[in-house]
Amino acid sequence: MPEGIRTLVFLMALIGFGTKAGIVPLHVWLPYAHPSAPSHISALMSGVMIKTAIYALVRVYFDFLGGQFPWWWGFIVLVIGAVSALLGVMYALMEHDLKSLLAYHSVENIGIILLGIGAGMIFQTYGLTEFAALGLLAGLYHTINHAMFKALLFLGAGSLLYATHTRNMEEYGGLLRRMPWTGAFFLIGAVSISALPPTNGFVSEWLVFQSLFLSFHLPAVLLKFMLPLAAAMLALTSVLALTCFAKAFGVSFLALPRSSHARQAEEVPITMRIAMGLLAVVCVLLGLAPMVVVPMLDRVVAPFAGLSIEGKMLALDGWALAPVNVEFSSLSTPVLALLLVALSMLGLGLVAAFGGLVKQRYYKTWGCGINLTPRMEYTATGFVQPIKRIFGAIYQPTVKLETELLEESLYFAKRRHFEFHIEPVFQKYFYDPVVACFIGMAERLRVIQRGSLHLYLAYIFVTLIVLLLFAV
Amino acid sequence: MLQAIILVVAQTIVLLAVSPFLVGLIRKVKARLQLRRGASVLQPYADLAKLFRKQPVVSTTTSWIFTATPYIVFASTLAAGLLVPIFVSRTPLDFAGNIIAVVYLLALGTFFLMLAGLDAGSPFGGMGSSREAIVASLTEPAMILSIFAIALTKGSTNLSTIVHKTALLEGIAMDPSPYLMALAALLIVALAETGRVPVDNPATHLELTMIHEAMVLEYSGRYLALIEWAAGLKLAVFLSLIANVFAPWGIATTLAPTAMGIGLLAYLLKVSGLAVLIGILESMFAKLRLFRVTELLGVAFILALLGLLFFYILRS
Repeated sequence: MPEGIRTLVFLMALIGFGTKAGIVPLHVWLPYAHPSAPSHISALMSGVMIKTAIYALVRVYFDFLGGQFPWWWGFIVLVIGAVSALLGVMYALMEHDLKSLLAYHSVENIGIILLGIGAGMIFQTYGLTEFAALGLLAGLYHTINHAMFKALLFLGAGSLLYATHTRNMEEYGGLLRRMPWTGAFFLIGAVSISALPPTNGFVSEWLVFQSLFLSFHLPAVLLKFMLPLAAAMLALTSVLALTCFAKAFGVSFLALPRSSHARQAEEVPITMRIAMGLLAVVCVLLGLAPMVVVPMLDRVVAPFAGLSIEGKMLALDGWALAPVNVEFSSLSTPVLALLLVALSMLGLGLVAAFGGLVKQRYYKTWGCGINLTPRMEYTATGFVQPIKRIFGAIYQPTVKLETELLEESLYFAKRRHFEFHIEPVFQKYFYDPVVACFIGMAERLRVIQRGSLHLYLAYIFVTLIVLLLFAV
Repeated sequence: MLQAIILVVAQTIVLLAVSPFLVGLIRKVKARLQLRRGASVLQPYADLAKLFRKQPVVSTTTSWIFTATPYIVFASTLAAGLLVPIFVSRTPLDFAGNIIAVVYLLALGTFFLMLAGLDAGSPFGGMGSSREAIVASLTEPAMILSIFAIALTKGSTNLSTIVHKTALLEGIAMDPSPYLMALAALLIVALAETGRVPVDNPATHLELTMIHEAMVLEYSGRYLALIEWAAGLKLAVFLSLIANVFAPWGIATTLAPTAMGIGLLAYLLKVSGLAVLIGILESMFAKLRLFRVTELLGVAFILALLGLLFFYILRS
């Protein structure tokens, strides 16, 4: 295949499958489409369907194009990954519709997957096949993990919708007491997607970090510098994801119920709980047993990279992951999990040793002298307000505050109306002009549509003549 | 195996024992600089002992998250501390996680603290959590980059390898500028992450300014004791990290008893020195307004980036 055609294939595959995967700036459809489906379908859409695009991208680049490409292909994939991850989580933070929030997180996680694959492509260009396999493996590991925890979270969101009849987070609150199972499963999903140890999300993000850090082996200084920068963006992304899920879980499940819907919510039926429970168990296992997952993924990656890195990934009889060598970096989630359990026990032991188990007293939260009501709680909007302000350049927020004052005094408000909007930048500056262009063209072409049958017959006649001229 | 377990237990005990002392030392330095006599450096131990014996009051609004969080925060912070070399350069648990694992273990504690802040339903808790989110998100990129700049010079992201190699003077770059940049960045990160002035004030209970204290406002008794101890541990983790990554000298590179004794002594001197430095810094600067904190943390990020840039430029 000539070089020009190959480049065209690369770009077209990136645009086509990228739109399916939901990369920025082609993501605009995803946050509308995924939440509108019934929740278990949303789980499949975000969990499985967008992964077909990742599958296709890997097949096209590493299989059909033979894994031979210039460095800038990988670089473009990497940049798109970093931008998608960061912007995906940023828009997710501003969402108060639980399912839309999860949909934006799909954009973020596709970005993380592409960071791994992009790093793999760059290493492949420079013949560092071991690292290429590592990057690809990291991306694919995150693909599996995302399928599991995102499906779990969508099912959790579905359970909340089932119990409260609303998707608006500001109307939840205190649901952990009313729906303990759903709450616990949602928490497992939230911890996993926030990439906190020792869960599965952490393992795959850690692998992505390692593949980005190995960039110092690359000969090009630009790439040496850009890959760690991508790692820094990944770090920012993952803390913002943590914030987002602290918001989502905290506002939905903790504190006082914020509406009558939430006050009357009841735990979902056992079948719905079993589905979530299964996924939660898989999430935990994928985190604790990377020594099982890595060899399986290695069998997938080996034909593309041309070598198996299973032996180089696992150290200490599989107890630790050590990409490339144990001196550079290592991680053992089972040991970390054991350590966390043991040290929690130590905490309990210290409490028993120093204080004895003094019985605790229950009392209402101090509300500065008045009884605490849900209206005093921090809302999801309030929680992310500082972030909205700090990243104002990205959000371009418009805030409208109207105050209707009492007639007697200028200091007491009768009614306040507050609204804020986030500028949908990509829709406004990227899609809208394209759509406007097409509509404008269509408007121009309308002159030939006159509604006269004779004219249309004349068109057909002229077309026929022209075609006959070609045929001769 | 037995040796490894003994070392891990020893490191746990050292961390637990040293962390209240560091908190007390910072307070003492601040008090002396304000021409007060100040409480004894051992006061935090007495405070912990008192808190453990007090009856905890738990809000009726809260869920199990509220009572589980102190244990999770305590365990995750201590686990992070066990991955950092303290007085022996090669920690037995080194294989369990590199520097990224340390950062994310600390993030696990932050996540649950943020949840606990929201759990009681008090607006103070929510405010604290929301602000903590800002500080945490802006410190993380600077932290990852500065650590990476150091990792590059040693060809490893495992803390034990970095510390061990530096202690044996292997792979020391001739030009110190990448180190200095990374050190400055990491110092700012440490101040922000451990909730010190100029980012947060650990001595305040003024609702307009508090961050960490607002988040844990509803805690009392044994829960507060664990949270306070964990906060001290986090400080100890950051100080150990800075001390042993940038100046590991004195640390035991072998398992000989005398070397370990010297290592322990050197460690205590180094972290005490850093605690005094923090006390002085806290006395010199006023707390920044929340939205000015971004500029400070931006500076940390730029410094870390420059460290990386210098490393590559000096190499090529």
